[in-house]
Amino acid sequence: MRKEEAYGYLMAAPAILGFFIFTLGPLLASLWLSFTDYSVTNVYKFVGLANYKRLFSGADPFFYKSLGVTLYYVALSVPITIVSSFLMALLLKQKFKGRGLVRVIVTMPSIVPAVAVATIFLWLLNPDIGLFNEILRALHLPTSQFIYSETTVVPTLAMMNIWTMGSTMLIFLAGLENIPEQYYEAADVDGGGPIYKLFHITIPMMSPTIFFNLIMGLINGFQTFTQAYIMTEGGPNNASLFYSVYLYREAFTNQRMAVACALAWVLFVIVLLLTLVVFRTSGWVYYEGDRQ
Amino acid sequence: MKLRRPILGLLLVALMVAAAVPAVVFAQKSDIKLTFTYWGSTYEKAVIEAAIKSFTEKTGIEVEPMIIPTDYETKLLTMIAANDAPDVGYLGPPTAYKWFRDGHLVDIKELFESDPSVKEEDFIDGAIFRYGDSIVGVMNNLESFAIFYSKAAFEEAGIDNVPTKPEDAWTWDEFVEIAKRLTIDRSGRNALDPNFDPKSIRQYGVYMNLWSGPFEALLLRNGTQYFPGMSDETGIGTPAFNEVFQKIADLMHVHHVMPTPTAAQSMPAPAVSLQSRRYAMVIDGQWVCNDFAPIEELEYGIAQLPKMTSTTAVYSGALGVIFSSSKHPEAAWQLLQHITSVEESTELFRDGLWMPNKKAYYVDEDKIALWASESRARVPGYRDVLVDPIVYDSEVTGEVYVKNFGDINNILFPALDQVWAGKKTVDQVITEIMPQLEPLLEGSIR
Repeated sequence: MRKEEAYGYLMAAPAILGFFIFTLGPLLASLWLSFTDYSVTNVYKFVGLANYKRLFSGADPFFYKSLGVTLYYVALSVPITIVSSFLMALLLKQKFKGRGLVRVIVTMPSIVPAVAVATIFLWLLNPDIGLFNEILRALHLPTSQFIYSETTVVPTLAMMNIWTMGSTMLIFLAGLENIPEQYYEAADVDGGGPIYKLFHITIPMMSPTIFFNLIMGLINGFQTFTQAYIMTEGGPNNASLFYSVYLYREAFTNQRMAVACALAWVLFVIVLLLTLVVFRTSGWVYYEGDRQ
Repeated sequence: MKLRRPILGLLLVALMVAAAVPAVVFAQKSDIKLTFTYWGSTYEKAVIEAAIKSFTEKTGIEVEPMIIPTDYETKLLTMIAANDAPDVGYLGPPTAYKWFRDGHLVDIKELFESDPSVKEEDFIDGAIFRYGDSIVGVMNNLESFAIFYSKAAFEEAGIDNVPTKPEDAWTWDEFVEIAKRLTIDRSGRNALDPNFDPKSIRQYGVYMNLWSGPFEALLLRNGTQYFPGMSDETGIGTPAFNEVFQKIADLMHVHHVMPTPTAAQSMPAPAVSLQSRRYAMVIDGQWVCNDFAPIEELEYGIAQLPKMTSTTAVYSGALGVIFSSSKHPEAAWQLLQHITSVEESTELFRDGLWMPNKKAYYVDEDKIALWASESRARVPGYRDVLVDPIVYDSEVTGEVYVKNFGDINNILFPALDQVWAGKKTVDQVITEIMPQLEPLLEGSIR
């Protein structure tokens, strides 16, 4: 028994050590470095809160801009993704011929590397020769500049995010499969229609899953990087300068690693606070067996 | 389990031996081993690797070349952070300046003094990046800007007498007129025609990639710069400075002879766009000769950039630098000399990518012939447009001497997106961003 226990720890050791050395270590180091003027190449010194002051005082013109852009993106993309993947999950829960195949097709895009997706969408979204505007033109509808206009770039990227809803949808689907059939049968007996079932059985029963996806969506949304990095480089006129893109630029292009560390911690606190707020206001989430 | 253990042990031993063998072999081959980092295309990689091979044959010094095609400085930064900096490599000037101050780069002044075979005076002056009495790096090669045009497009529009000598350069108005004759809509009308349709352009008169390089070339020709004459007095926001940017914006929105950045997104690379007549002229760095030369269907010519108040040419280039952590700075210096010599890396120069960094290759006929004699990459007029001006009337890029060059451009160019979109004028945009720019306008390094 003792030996087995030791083996248990031994087997878990790589993961535990990995966490301490490669995750917690750098995490704490970055906290310390955010109070210095570290730029990788210099002999750094402690500068107190100077990096944070630089950010919050607006001395760096991009901090509030990138924060605003990211909040806007999160506010758009999280509801869009949750609603669309929830609806898709409802659809794919229905029994129809070829359901398995359709499920695979819908899930597949989420395993395509983000860079490949970005590159393909660059073509699709091209205002002059892209497929989307071609379709709009064929339907005699007004065309869009998509990612090439300050006003449409963030909504476009948020819509593009639907493409990778597969993983969120899978979680919803798993949740849907878990709702006991008796509830629906009971509703049938009472004469409840599909809308009634959706709002009085499905959504309440799914609320923990929705809640989980909401939190994950928020966290991922704030960390959005790839699309903007590959497709827009933050433009036009910094309209898609996401927080993570800005952080990367500070760290590696502008070589202000300490400022980038401070940015990372500010982001951490923002996401933490937001998550807390969501938790505090989670009265709408129904847990089976809990007192309401 | 009992059976497997010895097998596992054997495997481990075998792995260790396998890992150790190459190390032993290399250690016997040579005492000095250099790591060399650079960027470039696959074409460049082949030429550089050949030059390195000949260097090893000549000197017995082993070199490990490491090509980093994208995010070069990011990669180098992580190498430095891991105490694994290369011995020698390319570097962009603003970063070189910073890393030199941080003590990561060798003062090349000392290497010049220790090496009797090269003298500072041999080099084009601006190619040597000085900081106080020290030398941060030497440009491996020079680059400068010109107009490249499709001969077929010019013939069709009946344009001849294309200026190659600086004194014959088009004025800006002449240039706009030429560009209009070369901009053709889908019904075949050019931009001078009153019925010209700017919404369906088949061939644009001119294209220019909107980054600081070609703008510096045009700014100099309007008598200004980010910091004219390497002074501490900025040109940004002055009428001459703003005028250049506005003139380019007007090419898009007033004259309709140049695609907006959005429209340009759907165009192929300049070489193909010239060949397929989407563009008639391209303002670009001379390195594009390397892309143009292999396209047999493309007959291209070269012209002087338009003249506004001056014809001074700008030149730039990546620096060769040596890292302080190197144990063999002299060997690294020799390697840089070897790779950047016209005799050793002839193809890089002759096939269009590079211009030499030493004066002799611009004045000595035999030496000029080595890299600039007529070919698909060095078309007639090349010498007038790009070789002679370097020694007679040129100035080095602001990248080398303007403090905060990168930070300034980080603010300037995104803001200019509003101008390229046709929403604001250059004056409006620069007035708006001036409060952000002011703390960065700290003058020149020297």
